[in-house]
Amino acid sequence: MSETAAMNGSAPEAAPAASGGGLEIEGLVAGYGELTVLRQVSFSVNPGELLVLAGPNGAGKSTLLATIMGTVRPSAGSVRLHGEELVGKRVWERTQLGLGLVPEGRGLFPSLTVWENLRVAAKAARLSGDDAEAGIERAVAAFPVIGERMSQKVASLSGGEQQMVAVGRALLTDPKVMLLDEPSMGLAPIIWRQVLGTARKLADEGRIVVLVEQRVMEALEPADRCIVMQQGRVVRDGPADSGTVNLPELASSYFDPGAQR
Amino acid sequence: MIDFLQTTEGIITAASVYLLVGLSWNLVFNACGYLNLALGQYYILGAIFSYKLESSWGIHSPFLLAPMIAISVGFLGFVSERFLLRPLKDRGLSPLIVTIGINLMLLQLAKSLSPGLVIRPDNFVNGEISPGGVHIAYQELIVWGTAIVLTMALFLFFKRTDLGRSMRASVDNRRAADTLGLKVATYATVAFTVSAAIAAIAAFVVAPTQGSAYNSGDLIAIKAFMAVSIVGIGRNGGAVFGALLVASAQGYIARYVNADVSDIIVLIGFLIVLYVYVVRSAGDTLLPRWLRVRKPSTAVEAT
Repeated sequence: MSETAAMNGSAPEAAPAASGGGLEIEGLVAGYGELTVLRQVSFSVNPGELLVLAGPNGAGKSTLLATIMGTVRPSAGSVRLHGEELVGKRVWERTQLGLGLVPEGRGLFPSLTVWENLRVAAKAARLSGDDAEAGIERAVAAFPVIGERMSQKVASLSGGEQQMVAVGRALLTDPKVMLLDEPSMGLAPIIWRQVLGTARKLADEGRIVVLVEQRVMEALEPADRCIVMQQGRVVRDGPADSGTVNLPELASSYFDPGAQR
Repeated sequence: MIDFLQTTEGIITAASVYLLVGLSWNLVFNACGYLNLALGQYYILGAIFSYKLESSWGIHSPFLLAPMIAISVGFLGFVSERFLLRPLKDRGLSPLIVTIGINLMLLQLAKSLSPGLVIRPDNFVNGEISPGGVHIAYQELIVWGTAIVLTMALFLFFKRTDLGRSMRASVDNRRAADTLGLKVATYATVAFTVSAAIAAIAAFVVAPTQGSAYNSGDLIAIKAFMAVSIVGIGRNGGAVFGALLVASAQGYIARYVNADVSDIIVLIGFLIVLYVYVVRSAGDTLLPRWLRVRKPSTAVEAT
């Protein structure tokens, strides 16, 4: 374990986007204690692809992201990135291997400044001093407003700016995979459109982008593909074509139909 | 006038101790999420260990004693958190109850190590300065200096170091810290250990000035708790103000009203502050009906 860690740690960004099917999830079973949430989830996403992951509350979308990131341990199955097995690796190892997460509710630290938020995340990913600085510069390059707000507390930022900090923070390690969990939450429609544009851009740069969303309609527009989950299983996997995604059925399967706009 | 200044001088010494112990309360409250009700015993063990090391081992250099006390009491804190509090908390036992248990165990340890009721280790340096006729012992200057240095050190630690920033982050948003892979549980252990060591150092520097009873730790801890909870437990910013307020109330009342009632008056004042605080922050439904203030039902603050 430590040898692998050392090998990975020595050149976190040097590894080129090797061949292999991008992010591959196979037969994933996971849950909390007695409760099984994911039942044999399998799919794969290719570089450059923007995937929308939809489904009702409790379908297992967030658990799936947590299992990919490593905060939930699966009881069976595998998660591979460019052929490399991630199950059994720690969160920071996965971050260094190329996973970036924008967690539900943004997961920022409101009483810390923007710079401190980025710095804490860089250190959690065990980036060296230089790599951390380079990562912060990358975040600023993607969202110049981050640079302007660097010494402000996150709590004093608008919702849209906070979302940029959250996405920028995930860009610190120049990830190959971007996982966005409910990024539309609490955002005005116009800002939400910008976030979708950012997601598209990240995919166009050759990244794998997985977008977990309740506001499916808007998310489908820029997306390439849409997976629908229900009760811990993938029930639909196909192009992100609003004509073929069965939205009425999707809507009716939500506990609260009003939540799906 | 001299008399007033002399009283004030004593107040600053007391406030220094409340400040250090108050910061220890905050450290554990922030990083662990509970109150360490055994804090007073870690405090008093600083004085008792210093006495023991002097009388039994013949160690008198404060530069040797300080690290030895910080490490040994810090180690007790480490063991308490890592091997008692954390596992028992994970099994569903309230940490408050566990800290009460630890308090009782450490009190027995303090009693068995203490030669009598009052322990008074030697001054680090004998002598005093007397500007304008106010007597300030060198030892008291050491107490003030220790409070200033340790407060600054903590401030810089949280502001300038990666570990400090990560600890603040995990206090701010524990779930997000977990998601990032920050070691939140380890921070709790670090905070508990450092908190015990700081409290012990406070007793180590102040005990030579007037002596400390082996069972006086809880009283100091309670006053320090008043000092930090007046401005809001967990907020280090107002701790200096809170410490001065409690020490002033106690010191001036003892000197100019009645020494026997000063503790009681301060305690009553504290209960009033606590009452206002509870009513303001959580609404008053926690209180018995006759103590409630009629308020709109939407008094709960969003956090």
